[in-house]
Amino acid sequence: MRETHGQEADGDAVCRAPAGSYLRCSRAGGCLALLLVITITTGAAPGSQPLGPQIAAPQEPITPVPPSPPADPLKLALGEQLFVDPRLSHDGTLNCSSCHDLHSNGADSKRVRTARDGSVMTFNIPTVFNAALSFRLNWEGNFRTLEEHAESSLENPANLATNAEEVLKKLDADPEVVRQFTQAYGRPPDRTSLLDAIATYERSLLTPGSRFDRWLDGDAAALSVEEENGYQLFKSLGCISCHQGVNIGGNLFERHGIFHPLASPKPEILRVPSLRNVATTPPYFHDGSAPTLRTAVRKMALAQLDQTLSDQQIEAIVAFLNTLTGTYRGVPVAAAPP
Amino acid sequence: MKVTPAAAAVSVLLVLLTWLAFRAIDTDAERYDRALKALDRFAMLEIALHRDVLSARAGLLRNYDPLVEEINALRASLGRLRDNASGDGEEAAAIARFAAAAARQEELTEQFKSNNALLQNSLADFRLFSAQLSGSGESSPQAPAVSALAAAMLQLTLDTSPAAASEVADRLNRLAAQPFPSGDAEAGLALLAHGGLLHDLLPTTDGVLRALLAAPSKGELKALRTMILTRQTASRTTAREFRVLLYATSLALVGVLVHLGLRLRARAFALQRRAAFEM
Repeated sequence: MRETHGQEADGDAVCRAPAGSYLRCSRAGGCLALLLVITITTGAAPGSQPLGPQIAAPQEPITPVPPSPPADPLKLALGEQLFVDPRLSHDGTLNCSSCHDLHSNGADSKRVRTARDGSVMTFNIPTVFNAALSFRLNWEGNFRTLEEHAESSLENPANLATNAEEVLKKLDADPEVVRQFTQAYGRPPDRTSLLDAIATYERSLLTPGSRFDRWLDGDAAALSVEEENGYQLFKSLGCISCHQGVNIGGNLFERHGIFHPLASPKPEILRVPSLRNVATTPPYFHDGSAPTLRTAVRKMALAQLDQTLSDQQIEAIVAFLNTLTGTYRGVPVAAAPP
Repeated sequence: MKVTPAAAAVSVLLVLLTWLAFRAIDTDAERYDRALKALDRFAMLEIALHRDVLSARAGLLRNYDPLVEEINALRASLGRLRDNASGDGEEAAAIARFAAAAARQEELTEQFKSNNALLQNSLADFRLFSAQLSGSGESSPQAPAVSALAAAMLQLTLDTSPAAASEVADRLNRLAAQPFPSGDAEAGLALLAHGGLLHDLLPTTDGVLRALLAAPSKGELKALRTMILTRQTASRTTAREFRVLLYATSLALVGVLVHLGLRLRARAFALQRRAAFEM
């Protein structure tokens, strides 16, 4: 499926109770006891049957997208401005939004882009929405922070083909930008503040409010029967083993083509992509080889699970995946125009 | 300007007292406290990580976000430890060894997550296909072989010893040797594929888990803590010794002051008597 970026959380959060998504006890024995109590009182294994969202949701392996983290509004505004600033490319023709269209799905609709030198880029463009919720960035998971990734995109000859120094020279020549940086950071633009402003803005690009998140929050009417069945199928088939957590993926590496070839064989190991907003981000896979969600589900089931799904099963899972579309600034995320 | 011996003595005394006062302060106390706090935090996070990987293996922890948070927090603790380091070679080397052990732990955790995801995935599918084949009719010639394989696999989930793995391999071979009816062929092949994967994955995953739980970071953490505690104790002892010296110097000064005061008083009395006599 299509990838989203990720970011390292600098966490002291380990001892916090997670947002009610899984059993978490101080001792395994305690968990086992709790599991037994739940099994006895409900007559079913936790998570195996819909018990009504108010009861089932707290035990789900997926947690809702949180609201955007609090941030300095001056830095946010600066980051938003930089995101669409063509001075971030060497020849002034590209900016971050050239590949990550925030008016649609945070990516684009192309299978793979053509690089500046005319060569075809290796990977399908990932969406920037919810990138901050993943643990690593890019299909290969080769960046831990949004700052690292932003700098790499600046320097990549196939992308923005510039560097922080060149961008800073251009920004320094603009008194208004210098004033904005001084207001936000207490100093004129430098490499750290430039990357921080972009990363701060990207951290705000979360898309809460999907129908599935509303269901997780207890709104039983948010999902239809078919969609809920699709979710149960998604779990029972084993898709949930990789696509779990707040970003429904994006928190581990995995081999692809376990049982059958999936897409381009290289690289063999990928960061598991997030399924947030997946219905709006065709084409799918790291090489963009699956044009539709149905194709992607069918191929994934065969390649990763050795399962040949029926059309009905595919429809049910796609119905569930359609419920994962969230909103950005109150507007539902939409597919990019072809 | 001529410096009198008294002024020189006062200057020397001032320098001495200031030097003693500075040496009597345990200036590294906060640094050592911060380092020990970072190590304590690291140890606590490591326990949480180990608990969560075990929970994930048992299927009780159903997403990997807590593991990600713990690894990130471990890295943050390590970063604090590095920032706090004094910069001397021995401490830097100990932190580097500790960081290498922590990196190995992270690597094993990532390996565990990837393996365990496949494992949980294949267990779900193995259950699905074995139920499908077992339920396809009591007259199915494969039903006993499927049940025997399922029993052997159940044992392997509990005990990943070579004997249990060998039993599963044997059951898989026996089942593979039987032709499946055309209606069950696809499910049969999928069961064999998932069974084969589980046969490899269950021992591998437990091996990773054992390596993770036995990761050398505990030893490195203990060594680093011992080194910091030793230095903290030495620093405290030195500061205490200088405080004693400072106290002794102060007492000596008080003695000198009393002595000077008495002499001054005696001279004042002498002057008074002389003045009274001359009047």
